[in-house]
Amino acid sequence: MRLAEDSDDELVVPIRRESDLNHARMIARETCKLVEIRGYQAQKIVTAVSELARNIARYTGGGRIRFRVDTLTESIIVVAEDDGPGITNLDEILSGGYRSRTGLGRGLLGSRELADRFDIQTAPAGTTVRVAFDYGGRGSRGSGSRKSRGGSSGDRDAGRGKAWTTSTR
Amino acid sequence: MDDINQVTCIPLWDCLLVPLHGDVSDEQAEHLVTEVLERIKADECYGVLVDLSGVWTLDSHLCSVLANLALAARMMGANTVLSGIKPEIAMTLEAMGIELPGIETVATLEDALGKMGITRSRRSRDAEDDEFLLGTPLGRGPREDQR
Repeated sequence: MRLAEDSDDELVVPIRRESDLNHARMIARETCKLVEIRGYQAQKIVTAVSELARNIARYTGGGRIRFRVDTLTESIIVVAEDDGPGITNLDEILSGGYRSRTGLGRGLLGSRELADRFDIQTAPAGTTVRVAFDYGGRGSRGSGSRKSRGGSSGDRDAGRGKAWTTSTR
Repeated sequence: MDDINQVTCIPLWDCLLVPLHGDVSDEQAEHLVTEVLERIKADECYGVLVDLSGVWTLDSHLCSVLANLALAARMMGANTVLSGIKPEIAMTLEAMGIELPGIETVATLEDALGKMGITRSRRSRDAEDDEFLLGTPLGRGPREDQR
C-alpha cells in the first residue's frame, strides 16, 4: 500500500479508514520540517490535518489529503477531498451549533479556526476543504488567541487579496 | 491486540499512571479507555494520572476520548488528572475553542501526584547527598555546626 503519492508539486495521502490518520499526520509533520516550521505553527497544521482526515474517514467512503508548499506565497496548502454525500448541515457546523455523537464536534470548525485561509465547497458529489497556513514570518495571524468569525461565510484572507469562500452547492 | 496499540498503565500505590507518547492512534485511544477502566476496577484505584508530556498532537477526538475517560472513571470512584500538555498543544486547543470539561489539568507530573496526595518525603537517595545539600543554597541552609 502506498502511503503517499508524489506528483510534481504535491503529496497525496489516501484516506480510507481511521488508521490512515497517522499517515496523514506524519506527512503533515514532514511538510512542516521541509519549510522549517515548528512549535505552535507546526502543531496547528498537524492538528487541522488530523481533523480533516478524520472527517473523511468517519463520514465518507474515502478521500485524500493533498499537501503542497507554495514558496511564492510562503504557505502550506492542505486540500481535503472526499467523494461522500456532502455536508447538509454546514451552516450549523460552522456556527458552532453542531455536536457530534463522539462529543466535541469541532473538527471542521477547529480547522477553520487554526488556518490562515479556509475554503469549503460541498455538494452531493463530495466535499473539498482547502486550508492554507502561512509561514516565513508572515503567518503570525491568530497566534494564540481565538479569532472571531462570522457565520458560515468563511470568507477569510491573510492579507494578500485572496477571498476564499464557503459554499453549499 | 497489536503491541503498537498497547497502552502503558503503571500502578502507583492506589493510583494509575498512564503515560501517553508519540502519535496516539484512534485505536490506541479506544484501547486506553477500556484498559484504564478495567484497571480501576481490578486494582481499586483512587486516581488516574494521564501524562501527556510525550504526546505529539492532541486533536478534538483525543480530547473527547480523555473527557469521556475522566467521566467514566469518576463514575467508578476515580479522579483523573491530566499533566504535561505542551504549550503549543495548549495554544492549539485554545485556538480551536476546545475545552476539557470536568478534567483537572496540571502542568507537571509532580503536580498531578500532589493532587493525589502523593508528595516527596525523602530528599535524595543518598544520605550523604542530603548532608551536602543541607549546607548549600539548594538545601535548608547551614547545619547547626556550621552556623
